[in-house]
Amino acid sequence: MNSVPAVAADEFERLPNRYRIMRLSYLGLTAFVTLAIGVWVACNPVKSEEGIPTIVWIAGGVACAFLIIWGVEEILGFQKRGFLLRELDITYRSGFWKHQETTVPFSRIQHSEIVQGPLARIFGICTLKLFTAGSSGANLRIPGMDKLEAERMRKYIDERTAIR
Amino acid sequence: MSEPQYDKSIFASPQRQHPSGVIYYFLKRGWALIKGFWPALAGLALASDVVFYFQIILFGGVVFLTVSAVLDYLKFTYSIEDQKLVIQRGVLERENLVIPFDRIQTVNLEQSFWQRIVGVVSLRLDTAGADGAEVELNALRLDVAALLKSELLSKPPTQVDREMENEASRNLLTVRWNRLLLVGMTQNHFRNAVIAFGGLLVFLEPLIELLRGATEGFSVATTFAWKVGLIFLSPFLAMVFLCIGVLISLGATVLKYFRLKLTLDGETEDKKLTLTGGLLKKFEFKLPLKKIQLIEVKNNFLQRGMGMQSLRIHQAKSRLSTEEDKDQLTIPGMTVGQVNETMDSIPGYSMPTDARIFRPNRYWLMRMLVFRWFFAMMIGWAMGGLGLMMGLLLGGALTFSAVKKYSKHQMRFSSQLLEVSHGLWHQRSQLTQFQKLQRVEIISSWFMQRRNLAHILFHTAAGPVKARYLNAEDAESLRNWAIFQIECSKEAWM
Repeated sequence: MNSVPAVAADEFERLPNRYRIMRLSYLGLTAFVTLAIGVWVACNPVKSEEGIPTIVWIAGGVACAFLIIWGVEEILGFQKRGFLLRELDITYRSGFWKHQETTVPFSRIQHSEIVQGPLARIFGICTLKLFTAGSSGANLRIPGMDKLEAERMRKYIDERTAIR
Repeated sequence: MSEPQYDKSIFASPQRQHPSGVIYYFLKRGWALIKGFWPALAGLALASDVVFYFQIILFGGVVFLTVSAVLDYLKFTYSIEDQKLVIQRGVLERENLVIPFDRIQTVNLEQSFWQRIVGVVSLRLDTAGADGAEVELNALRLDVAALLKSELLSKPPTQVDREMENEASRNLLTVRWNRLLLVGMTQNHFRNAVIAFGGLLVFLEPLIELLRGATEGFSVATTFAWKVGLIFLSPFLAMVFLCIGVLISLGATVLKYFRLKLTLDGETEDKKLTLTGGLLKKFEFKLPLKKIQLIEVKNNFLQRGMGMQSLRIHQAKSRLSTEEDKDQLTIPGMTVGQVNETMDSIPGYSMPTDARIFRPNRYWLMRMLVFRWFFAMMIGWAMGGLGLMMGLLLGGALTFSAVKKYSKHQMRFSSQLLEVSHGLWHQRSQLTQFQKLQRVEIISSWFMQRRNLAHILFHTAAGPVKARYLNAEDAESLRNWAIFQIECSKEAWM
């Protein structure tokens, strides 16, 4: 069983650094807004003399914990993101807290899609979606791909899907 | 038969369905209207001063339904062009549907009660995967439907020979009615009992009003006696609901699976499984062996006690269908021997005896125990005093179920096949071929990564098969093997 070609962990391609900046800016923006709300609430202590109510402290704590978990995911998790294109299949991996590695053989792809949001357009980044049979939604989403590279890859995949 | 006989040339020009299709559209739209507006309707029906408007609304509704049903009927045509089924439909929004024959997964004929009276059948097509459209022709004369079906399933000339096919037909299994009663007995009654109880609640309010009216003249003592009596009666009432639940399950099972029969027919290259049955609504489900994606054997502990298992054979899920029954062929109440026999007659799905076995890592058991004991102790602590005993008992029970659950989960695989079995009360084992897989996923949480463990998910077109808490190396080499098998297979997966 071990004689078949392996999906080698050290051959994965990293996603462009622009994508990292984009994700970090999302995080930064969210953190900033949360902080701003927190400061505002703290400065207007809900019209009471006893200072800040406990519930606000709890909410703040939860928000901080959430931001820390997200931050770790972004900072330590980014190098875990990547894809590996082989002759007959593609693998994408991601996630720090929950690591996922999905492999889709080209012969099982029904169709593909390239999506680009407004912020992603500024960064020149897009998401490649690959669909296989049997379940709803994209079965493999590779976010943070360079637009040109995604199109090249899609062409590469289409050529191989057509052969069967 | 005095009716004219048709031949397949009629499909060359657009055809309408049988005129009774109007009834179908009427009923369908009417039902949709009622479902959409029933709260308003109920409100109207109760308010007595709007009876006049109610009649107008009813009249308007019926006229609207009739007109739209007739239009729906007139605008729906189908024809066959060059190995494609072409359907035109829609009144305001015209729709032109083209379905190439080779995209058709299955063709099923069904006859519901009203259709039996009129003497028509519906024909339903399932198409595959991605842009799967599902098409129904709801009123076809039986002979036209049979002809259309054979056309739809015909491959470009050369292949199928009908005579040969009938000869090769082999009856695999017939489920008798006494067996069906057992199946009905072992269903989930709890759900039906709850439904019956819900039904009672709807009538509870008028009932209480009625009781209040009746008990007004009674003395305090009598009322008290009644209340006490009611409390004593409540276990019996619960029993009554359970019995109603059992009866509902029995009825539903017999209606659904009456005269269930499984046959295998067709030529060596192109065999099909056919399941027929049903009392009020007859069905015929054909599934070519090539299109099998996943085979499941299931039972709950009641059924296990009686040595019964149900077999489910799945084809690819069509994207739009929400009803489970359309994508799978379910045969309940089989003995272990019958399951084995049926599996043996489906080529390519018998697990060799030298299959390798993977078991989940012990970490899973430890993890379950820690969580369960924590939960049990929290409960015990929250209850205080005697609660601690309760917590210990609960913990013991949970430990038992965790150990069982852990020991029941295993994965077997050979070079072509993989099988995952799991479940404590509801046992389930899923079997599929590597070459049927669509994609493979390895998942591990942060804790699992530190212990070098991973789950592996094999996605088929009929749903995922999951093996849990494997060693990461095993998961990876399994993944590599599965991908290798998919890429090497020359056969189409469907």
